[in-house]
Amino acid sequence: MKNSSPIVIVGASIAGVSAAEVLCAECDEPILLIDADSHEPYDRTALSKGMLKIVDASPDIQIRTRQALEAQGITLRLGAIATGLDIAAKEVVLANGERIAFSRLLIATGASPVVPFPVTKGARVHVLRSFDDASDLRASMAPGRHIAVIGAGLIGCEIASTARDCGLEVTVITGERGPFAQALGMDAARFVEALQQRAGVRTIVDAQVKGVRLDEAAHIVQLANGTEIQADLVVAGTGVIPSTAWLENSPVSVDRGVLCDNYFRTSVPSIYAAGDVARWPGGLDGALARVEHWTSAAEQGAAAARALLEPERPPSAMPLPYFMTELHGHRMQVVGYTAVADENRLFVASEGDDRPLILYRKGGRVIGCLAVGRPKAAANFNAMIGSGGTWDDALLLAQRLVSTVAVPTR
Amino acid sequence: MKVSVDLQRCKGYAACMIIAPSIFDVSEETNKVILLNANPGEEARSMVEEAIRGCPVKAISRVADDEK
Repeated sequence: MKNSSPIVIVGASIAGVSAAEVLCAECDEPILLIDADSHEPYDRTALSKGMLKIVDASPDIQIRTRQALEAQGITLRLGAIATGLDIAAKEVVLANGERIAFSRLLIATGASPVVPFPVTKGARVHVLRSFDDASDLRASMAPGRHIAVIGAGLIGCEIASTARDCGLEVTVITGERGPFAQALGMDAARFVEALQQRAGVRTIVDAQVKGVRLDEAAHIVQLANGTEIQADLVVAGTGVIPSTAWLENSPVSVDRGVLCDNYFRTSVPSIYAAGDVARWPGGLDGALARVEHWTSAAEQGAAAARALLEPERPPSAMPLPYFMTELHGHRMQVVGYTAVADENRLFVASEGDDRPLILYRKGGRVIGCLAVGRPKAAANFNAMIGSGGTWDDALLLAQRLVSTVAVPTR
Repeated sequence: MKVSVDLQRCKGYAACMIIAPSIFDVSEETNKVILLNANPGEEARSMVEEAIRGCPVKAISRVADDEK
């Protein structure tokens, strides 16, 4: 029994492309991959990393070329903006009024940046999510200019690091107690803030941004305490919201993301979701969460594809949340559920060690690890966390890996 | 199955090592991947496929069996 309509994937970033390739390898139905973006699928993780440094040419950050996808039998359609979903007709509605019929649908529309403060007319606050965003930002990043980076999570800190490498003056402004404080805890925040200071980045913490306005040619970032920071350009890394507006009038259940089960099935039969847009049991102990990192998105896409083809198959085992970042020359790897920890513990070989290891505890278990310059340690703890390792075992391993242990003050 | 890595492409994301530590290592000196097992058995196929997908810079590939 074969349906003539294709399996349609809306969103051609890593989740969508992974799904398309798994579908392609495991079935011979037509596959149509569409995206609102006009660029061939690219690696978003590179946008805030290497891409901003390269001035003259577009670096090779493609996930797959159109040619590579089409060689596998996947049809790619770019610049196709989905604005609605007609469940009864089994059609995706595009901005130009066109309708695309599907046999089954995978929603992989990702997320969009949010700027949670007013920006007066004429002022420009950059965001960084798309290739075009990165091109615009890069064009403004001349050495010697002063960039104000609002938000000190992954995107904000990576932009700050890259901008500093490119010779800009950098001020980071965060409402948290330090960079990554909420996601990774205060030990990580202190470490990153020290890296920023050493690199010549000014970091302003506990600062609430009231707005950004233009004063002659300069941008002014206004803080709630009355402080005004003058900058040549401003970029916000202040979080994202899942891109679900096009599903508003459809019966697909949305609550801070498209709600999914372990099979990445949405509330509507034959419709699946994966990647940054999906809120699925991917948190600690199956809590509903969106996991916005590359390796997870790739596996979510692959898992959704397998579930779509073979609903009887047990759900795919999913990797722990994982990301790598390089800040001011220091490589940091983070695995697990660091944001929901009861406690974290810092291990350093000596005072001022620039390769700290931080472990995260929930109850009697180790649930997260941050390792700087220690990829093997990150891999070891990834395995331990994945198998439900105890906090005591994790402490022993950490002590073995980091020769001298600094125990928190008693 | 034959696996190959491209050191020019590798940027040290280390996702491969997190996913398949028996096949991939990452040097703490060069931050580049080290292939521990270039000919993993068939039982490692899904892990290798996950590592290929998990590498943002496409530094890992599987050489088709008939190209050995």
